[in-house]
Formats: sequence, structure tokens, C-alpha cells
Amino acid sequence: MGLLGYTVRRAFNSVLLIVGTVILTFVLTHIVAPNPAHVWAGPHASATVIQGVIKRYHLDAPWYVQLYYYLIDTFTLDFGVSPYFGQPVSTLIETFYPRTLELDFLAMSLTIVIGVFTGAFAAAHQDRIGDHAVRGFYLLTWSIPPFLVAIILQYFLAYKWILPPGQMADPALALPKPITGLITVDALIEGNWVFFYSSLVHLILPVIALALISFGIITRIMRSSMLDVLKTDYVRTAIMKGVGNRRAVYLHALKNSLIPVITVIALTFAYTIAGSVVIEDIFSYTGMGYLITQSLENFDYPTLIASTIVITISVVVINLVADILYAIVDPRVRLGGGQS
Amino acid sequence: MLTNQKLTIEPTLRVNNLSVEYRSKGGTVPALRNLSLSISEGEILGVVGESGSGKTTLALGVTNLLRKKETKLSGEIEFLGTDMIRAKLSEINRLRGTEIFMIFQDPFLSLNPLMRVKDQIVEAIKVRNRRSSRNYTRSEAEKEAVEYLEDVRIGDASEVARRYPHQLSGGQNQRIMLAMALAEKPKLLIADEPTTALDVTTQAQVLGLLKEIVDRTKMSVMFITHDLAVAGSICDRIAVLYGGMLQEIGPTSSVLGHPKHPYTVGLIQSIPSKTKNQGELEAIQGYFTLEGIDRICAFAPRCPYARPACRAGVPSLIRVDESEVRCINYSQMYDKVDIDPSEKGAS
Amino acid sequence: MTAVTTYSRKRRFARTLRRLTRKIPSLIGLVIAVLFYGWSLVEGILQLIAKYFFYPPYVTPKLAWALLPYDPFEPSFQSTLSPPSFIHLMGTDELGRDIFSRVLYAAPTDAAISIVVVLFGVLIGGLLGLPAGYFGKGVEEVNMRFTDLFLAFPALILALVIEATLGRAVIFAIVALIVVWWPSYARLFRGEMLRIKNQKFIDAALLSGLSDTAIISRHALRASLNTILSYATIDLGNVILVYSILSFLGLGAPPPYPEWGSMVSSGLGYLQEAWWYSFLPGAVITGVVIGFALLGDGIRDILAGEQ
Ligand SMILES: Nc1ncnc2c1ncn2[C@@H]1O[C@H](COP(=O)(O)OP(=O)(O)OP(=O)(O)O)[C@@H](O)[C@H]1O
Ligand SMILES: [Mg+2]
Repeated sequence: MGLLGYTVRRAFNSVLLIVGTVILTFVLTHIVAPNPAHVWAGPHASATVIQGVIKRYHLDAPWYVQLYYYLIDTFTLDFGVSPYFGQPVSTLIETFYPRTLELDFLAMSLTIVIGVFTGAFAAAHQDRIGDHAVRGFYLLTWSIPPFLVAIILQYFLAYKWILPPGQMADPALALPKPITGLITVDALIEGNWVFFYSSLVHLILPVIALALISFGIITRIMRSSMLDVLKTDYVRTAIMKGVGNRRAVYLHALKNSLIPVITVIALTFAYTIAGSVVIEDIFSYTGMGYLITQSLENFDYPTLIASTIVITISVVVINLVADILYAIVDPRVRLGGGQS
Repeated sequence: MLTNQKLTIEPTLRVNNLSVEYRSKGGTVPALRNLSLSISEGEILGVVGESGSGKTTLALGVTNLLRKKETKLSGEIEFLGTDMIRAKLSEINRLRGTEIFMIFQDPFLSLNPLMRVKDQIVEAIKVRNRRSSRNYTRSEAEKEAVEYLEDVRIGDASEVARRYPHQLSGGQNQRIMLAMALAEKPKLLIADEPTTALDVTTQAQVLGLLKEIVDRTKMSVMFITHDLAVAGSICDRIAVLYGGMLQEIGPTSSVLGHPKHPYTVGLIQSIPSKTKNQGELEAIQGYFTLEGIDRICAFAPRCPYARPACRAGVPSLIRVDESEVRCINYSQMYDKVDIDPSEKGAS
Repeated sequence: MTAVTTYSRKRRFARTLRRLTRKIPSLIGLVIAVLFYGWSLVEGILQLIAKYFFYPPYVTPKLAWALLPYDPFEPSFQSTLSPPSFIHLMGTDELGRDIFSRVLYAAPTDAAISIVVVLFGVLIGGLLGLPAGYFGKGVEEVNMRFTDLFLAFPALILALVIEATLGRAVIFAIVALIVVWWPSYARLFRGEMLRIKNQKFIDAALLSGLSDTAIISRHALRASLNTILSYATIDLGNVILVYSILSFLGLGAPPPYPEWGSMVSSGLGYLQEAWWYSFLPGAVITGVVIGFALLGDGIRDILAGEQ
């Protein structure tokens, strides 16, 4: 079958899934919605505005015509104009999404590294104090609402200490020219060290908050898979070969235990991005979370729907990437025909 | 003095009074009790017993692979002069591979699924080279790995070397384990039912191969199996385990030709042979039970010759002809007398 | 026959309960869960009576806070933002209202939401997941593809959109939570069904000529209950957690009605001078969620040991 065939098959599935989710949002917004025109235009819209919205979204046409235009609009990334921001929604997303991606990828990398390490550590120290500490900590981070994590960090590390409590960078500094959209990267490209430093410092708290939220997913799965793998005969074979315990645990066992971790990467991403809705709100970080909370507060429905679609597509894509990564790591998936 | 030394030559492996208990939620499960045996240089010792008799536990105990937290272990294990129970982990790890190596029960589970076969054998070669301070290059090691694969008669060795374990058959995987053993050339090879998971033809091939390797390399082997016939075909001596206790041990000819313990007799009778039809096969009646196991003869509940004396205590292992056997039919000696006779009727 | 099974089931329940009290973490979980639901039941009944049986002077809105230390709605401008003390256990908010009373007053809503959402999640998930696992092939394909569609969305964001579409009210929040909650149960039930299908007693049931629906509902459902029970227990807490986020974002009950999430959010503006305003309601949420997680883990350990 090979990696290519596998990838093509997975990619095809992902495309189907994306079309499906877009149709689902259509059903929700055009069919389930009690009064689609009102929803799209916002509760305080005037009659003329509502007329315009009906025309724009073809709300007077039969549902399949509506669906047709909806799909066309979505896949040409034409999400209309935001009634609140007064800008094309795609422009808004183009501006805000990279900032959130920057935040989320940093947070995810942190979670994965820490999660893998603490999970492996807990497994290697099963039922000893280190294990209990790790498990207690992930129970706590799992149960604590994201906004409380953010508030605690803000209160103790910002108000009581030195880190900035919010914003993406010192507001006195001008934003770097958008090249990639990732503002720290743009500052770096521009050689704007002052801004780069400021944005890094401002990233610390939101990144830690987000990493803490999804910390439990990775640690938990890493710990249990490591526990399983440490009992397997192939780890024992490695030990019996005389490669030494460190190599047996941190090469043979760790690599095998990472497989289940790969399968939850997309879940972690979904979790982080949902978390950033709340986290960005608290840290006044103007990314996608800000866009979503603003559109919620101001009944800016087109922006909300477009953001949802774009985020969901990203989740599906990340899932695809994780699946491919999975196949690269595990020959049983890539080459097929496994007996297990 | 010189002649004396020859007589008292240290065995490769000496196990003395080994007891192992598994801790579990409901309490502890005794898996091995007061087990003593030894294997001398170049000898193949068969360890035979039904499922659950403690064979794997013995192998894991000898190689110090039992998880400390889950087991309680007492007794002595001496391998080439090293105390395998109390020695430091680093010291034991130095013995693993080139001095002692183990092949596991299920060939599909004993190789790392994420590594190519070649790399797994090369790992073994590296360990050996490092210990003998031999210089080598990666490509030399890889070539050597392929040679070992050829040695264990894997066709298309260089092709197979590039594959992953899941792409190979059980027989092939088990041969790869043998190739690893060849690469390490250990003094003692422990083979835990290496052929049980294989079909009959493959079983015979792998067995033949093992015998050939042992003849060639002069390694000692602890050959674990539940099949007395298989043990008979390749072992010098046979140890019969039941309920975690050694019931009989002796030279193969003695154990198979003149079995002493009723359990051994039962095992021999249940060997299918050409002269007997399947229908006439005599299986041992009943099931193994843990009840009273630390007070009476473990086999008594199933033994066709059981007498009240069998429940008077745990019989001692005593010498009869060339074998040693644990049965009061030969001498009424007990390791431990049951102190509470009121319980005898109950069990 | 039924008498015997009810009897043994009762006994089994009692035994499980007894074993839960043996380990400290699950005991803590049990105590938190019992306190939370016990209180919510009492307070919830009072609130319902006060709301629907207005009958002065015996039944007035005041009945709803008869058991609370203070009226949760009455501003008191002499004591705004006062820190926790014996007079106000959790301090007061910017209008001088007692935060502890408001937290207690809000509990029944969360209790009801958690139960309704998990029940519907189990119901819908079971209806789609069990047949998918049992019949396989086309049924599985259709049901699980449908499930995957919902799972593709980040749950919180889908819930936001649903509520934005339907309107902002507790009832729509519940609908939104159910919509994002059932898919994981569909997966779980399917997995359990696949596991159970390979076991002997299903074969026996098939041989004895039971119909498919009878097998699914009678045998498989019961066998998968062990797994589902511990999962659902943990989920009760998770629902409360996610609902608190909705409420934090202003999608729960409108003010002045108190809610745990919205209290944290309104306390944000006073974080520097009145930490308790946000922290303490947040800590209550955390405590309840931890309680259910501990209880669920405990149940799992016990039931897994029985299998
Ligand atoms: N990890 C464990 N925890 C608890 N008990 C165990 C464990 N491993 C083995 N046992 C018990 O110890 C006894 C001996 O097991 P062992 O695996 O050594 O048997 P065996 O002779 O190798 O059997 P088989 O032929 O099935 O491999 C059995 O009663 C078994 O139930
Ligand atoms: Mg075994």
C-alpha cells in the first residue's frame, strides 16, 4: 500500500469530512435556525438590512440553491462582510488567525514536550511519589476551568509580579508589517528586536495557561501507554540484549508509547483552540478567540460561522497530519498486513 | 587438588531455594516455591510443566526481569558467580546479552514493531563488539547481521533484514530471535516455549535449528516447554514443575524411561504417539488448585495414587536412582509436616 | 427471577458503595457528589415551589433562599466587595451580595444540566453506537461517519455557534451541550459493543433465538454499563465545566440570576482589589469537577476488578 496510497486515502476522507462539516453548519444556520435572516443580520438590524441579507445569502430560494451558494462561498473563502467590524470576514480571519496559531502552536509544543516527559516519568515511577504528584497535577489541571487558570496566572504572575497581564505586545509599539501574519515571526523578519522581545514576553502567560489546560490529555495517555509498553516482551528482549536500561526505556519503550500520543495531537489542538477563546479574552490577546468573543457579544453571525468553519477545517487538517505522522512512525500502519 | 577441581566445577547457573510470589489486589499468588536446580556448561536442561506451573516465572526470575513491585522473591540465583538477585542493576545489565539471553514465548511480541529486523540484530552485535572492545563499522555489523540470518536459514536474508517484524511469519520471527542469540553467543540461553506459538512443521524446523546452534556454540540452555516429547528430543536433563515446585528432575533417559512421579507418568501417558489413538489419550484428571498448596503435596488433589500420607505435609525431594523426586511413594519424608490434622479431611 | 436480580443488584450497589468509601480519593469524590446533588435537590425544589406556586404569604419568592445565609439578589451597599469572613464566607461582590449564597443558589441549575446532558448523551450515543458495533458494515459506516462529523468540531466552539443560532438561554445551552456531548458516547458504546460481541454469552443469546434488539438492549447494554458508568460519572463534572465556560462567555442564564461561570467573569473587573470574587466561585467549580473525576475513577477501579 505504501505511505503515498495511505496519505491519499486519508486526504480523501478528510476532504469528505470537511464538506460534511460545512454542510452541517449550513443545516444549522439555514434550516435549524428559527429565523435565518434575523440570525445572519443580527437582532437589531433594520428591514432594509434584512432584505440585503436575504438577497446576499439567497434565503428566499429553495434550500438546495441556498446550499449551492453556501458551498461556493465557503470554498472560495467568501464569508461576506462582518456587520460589526465592517470588514470582509476573510480579511479579519487572515489577520487574527495567525496570531492564535502562533499562540496555540507554542502552547501545544510545550504541552507535548512536558506531557510526554511527565507521563513517561510517572510510568517509570508507578505508584511512587513522583507518579502520585504527576497524577494529582493532571487531575487538577483537567478539572480547573480554563478561565480560572488564566486568572490565577494573571493574578499571581502579572499583578503580583512582573509579567505583562495582557495584550500581544507593548501597545506603544507599532505592529510589524504583516508578512506571515505571525507577529513574532514578522517582527523577527523585520529585525524589530524591541517588538520581538515584547511580544515574546506577552506570550508567556497565555502560552502557559493554554499548555496547562491540555496538559492532562497528553500526560495521561503517555503514562498509560508507557505502562503498557514497559510490560511488553520486546522491551524485555531489548533489556536482555544488554543495551542497558536507559536505551531500552528511552528508545524502545518511549518510541512505542508515543504512538497513542500522536493520535491525540489533533484533539489537543482542538482543545487548545477552544481554550484560546477564553484565554485570549482574559489576556486581551487579539487573535481568533478575541474575534469569536467579539462576534458573540455583538451578534456578528457571519464572522462567528466563518471562524468556526476555518477552525474546524484546521482541526481536520491537523488530524490528517497526525495520521500521516502516525504512519511514518508505525510501519504496521504504513505497510499494512500486521498480525496484531 | 586438580582432580578435585574437576569434580566441584561451578555450574553455569545455580538456583537455590527460589520462591516467587506475585502480589495482586486480592493477596499474593505463590508461583514458585523452594526451587533448586543447576545447569552446567554446555548442558540443555528442559523445564516441563503445564500452563501456570511457573515456568515463565522461573525464566524471568533467573534473568532478573520480574517487576520488583509486583513480586516477592527469596532464595539464591547464582549465574557465573554473580548473585542475580542482589547484584546491582548495572552489573546484571553487563551480563545480559553476551552472557545470558532469553527468547520469549510469543515470537510476534518479542521484537520491537517499530524497528527493522536488521537494526535489532545490529543492536545485539554492537553490544557484543563493545564488550569485547572490537572495532567495527556500521556496514560490517549489518553484513554480519545478514550472515546470522542466513545461519538460521532464512531465505532472502538481506531482503528480510530490511523488513519489520509484522511483515514476517512467526517462524521467521523466532529464527530472528535465534539469530540474535547467535550474535550475542551467550553462555546461557533461556528459551521460553520458543516453539509453542508455531505450527508443527515450523516447530520441528526451529527445534532442529536450536539444537544445531547449541551443538555448535556449546552454550547452556534452559529449555522451557509444556511438551515432554519435545523436551525429550533435545534435552540432557529434564525438570518437571507442578504448582511452582520441582516434582522430579533427572537425566532425560531416566525421567522419560523410568518416570517416578505420578505427575510425570501422567504427562508421558498424555503424549500422543503413533501407537495410541487420540481417543485413548490419558489426560490428567482435574484441575490445578492452590488449595492447601503450602501444606500438602501439590499434586495430591489430582493424583490417582493419593493416600492420606500425601496430605500429611509437603514431601521432600529425594534421590531415587538417577533422578530426584518429590513423592512419598519413595520415602515418607516431608519438608514440612502439616500441623493441623483437622484440616486434612476438609481439603 | 426479577426479585432475585433486583435483590442482587441492590446488594451489588451497596457493596460498590461500601468499597468506594474505603479509599480516600473515591471517598472524597463520593462526599462531594452527594453534597452537591443533595443540596441541589433541596434547593432546587424550593426554587421550583417559589417560582411556580406563588401563594403569599406562605409561598413567596423568598422561599427560594430560605436556607441561604443571605438573599442572593438583594444589593447591600454598606458591604460591597468585602473579603471572606465569618459574616460572608466567600466575601461579597460589587453590589454587596453574599457570594456564598449566590454560589449555593446557582448549584441546582448546574446539577440539573449535568444530569440532563449526560443522560441524553448516553441515550443518543447508545442509540447510534450500539447498533453500529453490533451490525457493523453499512449501519456502522453511516452512524460513525455521522458521529465523526460532530467530533470534527472543537466542542466548545460548536456549542457557541448552536447557542448563537438558537438564542441565549439555559435551555439552548443544554441543547448545545447535548449536541456536542453524544458523539463521544456513540464511540464508547460502539467500542464496548465490539468488545462484547466477541464474548461467549452473546453467541449463546443468539443461539437461543433472541432478536437483535433484545440482545442489544438486554445483554449488551448491561455488559457495557460498567464502562459507561464510570465514564458518565466523570462526565457529570465535565458538563459542569463546559457549561461554566458558556456561562463565563455570557451564554448562560442572564443576570441578575447567579451562575458559577458568570460570577467569575463579572469578578474579573475587580480582580486586583477583590480576588475572592472570581477565585472562589471558580474554586467551587474545580472542586465539584475534581469530585466527579475521583468518584468516576473509583467506580472504574472497583468495576474493573469485578470483571
Ligand atoms: N503478573 C502476574 N501477576 C499475578 N500472577 C501472575 C503473574 N504472572 C503469572 N502469574 C501467576 O503465576 C503462576 C505461574 O505463571 P507462569 O507465567 O510462570 O506460568 P507458565 O508455566 O509460564 O505458564 P504458561 O505455560 O501458560 O506460559 C500462574 O498461576 C499465574 O497465574
Ligand atoms: Mg509461560
